[in-house]
Amino acid sequence: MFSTANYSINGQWSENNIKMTSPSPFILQKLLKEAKEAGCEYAVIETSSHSIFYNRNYGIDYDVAVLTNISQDHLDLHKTMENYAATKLQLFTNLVSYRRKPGVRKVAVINIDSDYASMFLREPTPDIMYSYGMAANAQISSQNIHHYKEGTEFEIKMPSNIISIKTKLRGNFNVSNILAAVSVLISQKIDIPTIVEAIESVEVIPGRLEEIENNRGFMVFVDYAHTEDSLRNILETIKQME
Amino acid sequence: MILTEDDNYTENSLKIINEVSMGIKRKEGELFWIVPSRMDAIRTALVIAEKEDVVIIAGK
Repeated sequence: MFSTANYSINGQWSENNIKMTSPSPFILQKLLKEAKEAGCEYAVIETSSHSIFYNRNYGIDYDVAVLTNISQDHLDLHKTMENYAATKLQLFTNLVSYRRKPGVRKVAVINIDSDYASMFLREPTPDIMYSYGMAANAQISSQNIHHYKEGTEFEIKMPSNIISIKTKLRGNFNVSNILAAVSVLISQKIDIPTIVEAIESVEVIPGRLEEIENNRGFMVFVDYAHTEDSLRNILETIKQME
Repeated sequence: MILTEDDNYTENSLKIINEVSMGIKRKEGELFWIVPSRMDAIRTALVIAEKEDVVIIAGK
């Protein structure tokens, strides 16, 4: 897995200290080779609009593309939100033309709570498209959410069934991200018990409302938030926690 | 609220801090401070935090 916060190859974590979500294609390809040699079957690559704009993902034939959200950020590069969304959309448009591995379906997963969802839902789909979100009309949606100091409990409603989730992660943004992960896993035909077990085993996402234990009687959280949307999210999450 | 530097790339962090502070409605010194060094800013927050408080360290 390659993300803004860190890299992990087959359970071995290292910190992403380049201050960019995606490294250059040369480094990324080298890391992917390492991952393959370590026995990894899947690679999860957080793909920023910068990396699409600068072709840092050159040579990668994605099988699944996920839109989590688009909020005000990176305007030094894109100038307008419309350009920013259009850059992200390229990943989904290209999905159809990316090289196919035999028998592997091309999948688009869209967060319908995003202001820009309709733009992505209109895109001619490859083989499958899943919509997820807090909104009830999503194919994969959340319901009965309860926030606790220790984590969150909620249900995931899917077309065929409803599953209960207990997670140590906090905040609606984490519920939303879990829905994204579940959508991807279902598209890869991973069975439900394996999905539930994997989600419930996650202790913390580094830099995402990460709690720093202390003996001073107050709570300390480190969060990557640096946009209006993400700051509002963490403040609301902390207010909801009782 | 403590305002500090954050991942300024090639820009001048003090200039960014000034621009951000213009959008903050609180008066400096009244539940709002500017501490340009990030390490000092975090240290300040942990020193002034009291029991039952929540400290959020946000940014890249």
